Amino acid sequence: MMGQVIFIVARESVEALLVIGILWAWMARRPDARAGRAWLLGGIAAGFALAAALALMLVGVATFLGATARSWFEIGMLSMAAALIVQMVFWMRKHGRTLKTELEAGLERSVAAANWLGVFALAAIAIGREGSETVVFLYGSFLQLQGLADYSAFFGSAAVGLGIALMLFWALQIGARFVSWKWFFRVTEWMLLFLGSALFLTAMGKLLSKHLSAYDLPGWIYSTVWDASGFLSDSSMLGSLLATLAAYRSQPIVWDLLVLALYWGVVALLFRHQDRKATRARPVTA
Amino acid sequence: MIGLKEPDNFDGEMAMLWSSSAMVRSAKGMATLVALAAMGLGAAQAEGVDFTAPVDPAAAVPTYAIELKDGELLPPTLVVPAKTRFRLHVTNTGTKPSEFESNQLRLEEVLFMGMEATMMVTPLDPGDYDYFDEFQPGVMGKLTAKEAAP
Repeated sequence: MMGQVIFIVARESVEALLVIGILWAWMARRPDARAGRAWLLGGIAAGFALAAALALMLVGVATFLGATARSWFEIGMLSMAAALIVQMVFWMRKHGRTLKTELEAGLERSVAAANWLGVFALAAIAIGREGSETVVFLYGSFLQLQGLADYSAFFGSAAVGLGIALMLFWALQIGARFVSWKWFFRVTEWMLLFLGSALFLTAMGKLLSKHLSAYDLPGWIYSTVWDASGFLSDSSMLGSLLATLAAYRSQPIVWDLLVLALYWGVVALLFRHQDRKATRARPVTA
Repeated sequence: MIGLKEPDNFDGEMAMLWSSSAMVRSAKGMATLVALAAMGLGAAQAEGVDFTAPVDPAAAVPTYAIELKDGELLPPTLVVPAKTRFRLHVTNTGTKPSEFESNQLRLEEVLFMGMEATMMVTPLDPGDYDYFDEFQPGVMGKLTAKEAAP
């Protein structure tokens, strides 16, 4: 049972720690790092509160929302997290180029305020969503405990699980320090974009099966495009981790591929627009 | 002339024999067809038996029950008709919390002890799909979708 506690806690914390670890490392590069980290820490605290509130709902102690409203709320949270991730990457890309001059000119301040709110919300959702599941799991397991030995093993395992996930956080901070910023940013930017695609795909999956299932959509929407479950099933340990972090699906249906195409299409358009604006702006500033 | 007649008779007899054998053969053919048809029906019936019984057979959208019991999945396998939507009614009857999950079916539901949830599953292509309790890793359930016999 204790091995299971370690595994579940580590697995459920990975996603949140990936987001927070990357944001934390990015903040360090900014001249206004202190303000950024304060917003991030605030988001983490809000995330714990959100996790507790959601857990109360899952346990059935509190019913703030009915089942339908709850699933809309989940879809909203997931989509918003995906949008915030894309926006965050967009913002950081822009910064790599223009940060100093803009900061000096004082143009950055108002834009920054809006983005700090984004950092806050993203951290809160990242912790709140997966955290609520961890809270339910730990609370349920906690109720099974009998005797002191049980308690110490339980808390020990939970701490080990969190420690394993925290190693990811540390690895990111060390990476930020020792790898060149350009490469670190490039790699983490892709990690976040993939995570965003996974969140958006999960959101749209819920939309399809919970809210669109009453409608008769054309049959091809549901047809399986390929079956790679023999190669790497998304129910396996590696497969499900890839599903959580990078939207891997071993048996995608047409809907899944449309959703992913929409996500990456929007990302590509946004970034191309950004690049074009940057090249247009360059001769002027030069 | 008698010598000439014989072959005629012989031919006649052969013709008779042939036709009777043809009749026998066609009868055999019929029997084989009937037997095949019967086997086909039998197979179809066997397939019908293979399908998991829904909770409420009269309902337009069938519902299948799954119990999560401290890491056990009851039943560990389900056979449902392909290309048609259905519901899964999942109950946690164990003493620990569970999370019913399936990436392949696009389902995820946290269930505290004693809680239950009904989930709609979108029409599936024929094939195998996994379901499991994420809080009890290692045990995998298999849902098979297959075309109903015509």
